[in-house]
Amino acid sequence: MAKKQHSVFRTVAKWELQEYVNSPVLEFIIIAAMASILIYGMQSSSFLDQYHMLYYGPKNMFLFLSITVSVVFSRSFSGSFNRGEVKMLLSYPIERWKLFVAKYIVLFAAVFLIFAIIFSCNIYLLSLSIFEPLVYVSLLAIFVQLFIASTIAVAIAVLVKNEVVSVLASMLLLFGIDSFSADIGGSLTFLSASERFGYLFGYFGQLTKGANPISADIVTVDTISLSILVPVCISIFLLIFLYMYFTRFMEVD
Amino acid sequence: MKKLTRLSLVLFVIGISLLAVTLVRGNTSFSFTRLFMQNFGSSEWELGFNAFFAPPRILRMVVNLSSPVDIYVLTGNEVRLWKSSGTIDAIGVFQGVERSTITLQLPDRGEYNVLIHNLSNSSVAGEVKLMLYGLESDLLYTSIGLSIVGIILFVGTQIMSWHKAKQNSPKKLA
Repeated sequence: MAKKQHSVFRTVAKWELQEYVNSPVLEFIIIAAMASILIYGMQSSSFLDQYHMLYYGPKNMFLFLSITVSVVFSRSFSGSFNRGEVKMLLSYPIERWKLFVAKYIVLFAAVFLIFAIIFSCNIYLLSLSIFEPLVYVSLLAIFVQLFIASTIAVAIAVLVKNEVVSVLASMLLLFGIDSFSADIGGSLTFLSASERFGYLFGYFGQLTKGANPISADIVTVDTISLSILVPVCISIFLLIFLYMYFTRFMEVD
Repeated sequence: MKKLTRLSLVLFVIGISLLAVTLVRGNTSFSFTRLFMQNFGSSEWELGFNAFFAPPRILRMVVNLSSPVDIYVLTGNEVRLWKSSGTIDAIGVFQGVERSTITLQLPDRGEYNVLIHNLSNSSVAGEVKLMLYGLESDLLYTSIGLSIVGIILFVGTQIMSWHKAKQNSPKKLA
């Protein structure tokens, strides 16, 4: 029985992956990731300035990541309501939670994989060691931002159930949260992707290189813990709410 | 067949995107470091700059000095070799340079430095400016390679499917 349940989940995940791979969205993500991560000038005078380039070079990636997440997640969740796919899939013996979890995991893994692989090209481009901790810290920053952005995008998509509206709404909301939290400052900066990236990079730079490689400020353990915990806790809370809504209360018409 | 066509399109998109990235990255030419020399003693050897990171682009050195010097462009390993044993195995050797512009295609991505030797009996003063320009050759070749592989795969799959369709056509069946 458990084996059958497992195979149903795998089949749903495979359908989702096939739909994702066969759609032109894959090309869109590759282009967006390459443009935002790899386009930067080699403005360095010292060999040690590679860390500056690793930090300042791909700083636009969070903007493109938000656009990508808005398009991919909204298209998948809202689009499947619009096209009647959810109704059709639920007419088979497929449980709602499997549909929700399979969609979320497949899209999350696919987007993260593309951004992580393209970001890892910086190991070669900047002649860094493959074990360079700041590369993996940057990947953690991408992971956390993708987690919060994807839960927000899915929340809007599931509640609105309209592809175009949810794409636009999640884009505006993600940009709004990012720029507003960076401008206001204080504890809200933990919601800003670029500020969080700065804290992570600075703190782990202090640990591994002896000093913050990007600024003179000292990043404390409290700051770094909050900058990870705040977005992760919000995302988990939102995800649990969405899971409950999708599996118990949502009406499919 | 469909999977192969899809793969060819994705490869082509990766290649073209990388080509665009290479063109934009190569569009910047800037003076990224300069060395001011004052009273550089006679017959002295000196590493001109801090070790710098450079991609495989064209390195242009604008030299403006009061007396001729020998200039050696060294990789990180070559600098270490020179420091340990005094052996010079440089990727670029320019002898008797006083006032000129030197260009050198850097072979790889990595650490470089410039070693200067004062040939004259008098001290030297002046400036050496380093600039990078041109496209990053490794990225350029990779992007062109990926695009070509994508195109070949695409054309190949189209020819194969055309052959299949021809073989299965009603005329043949009849």
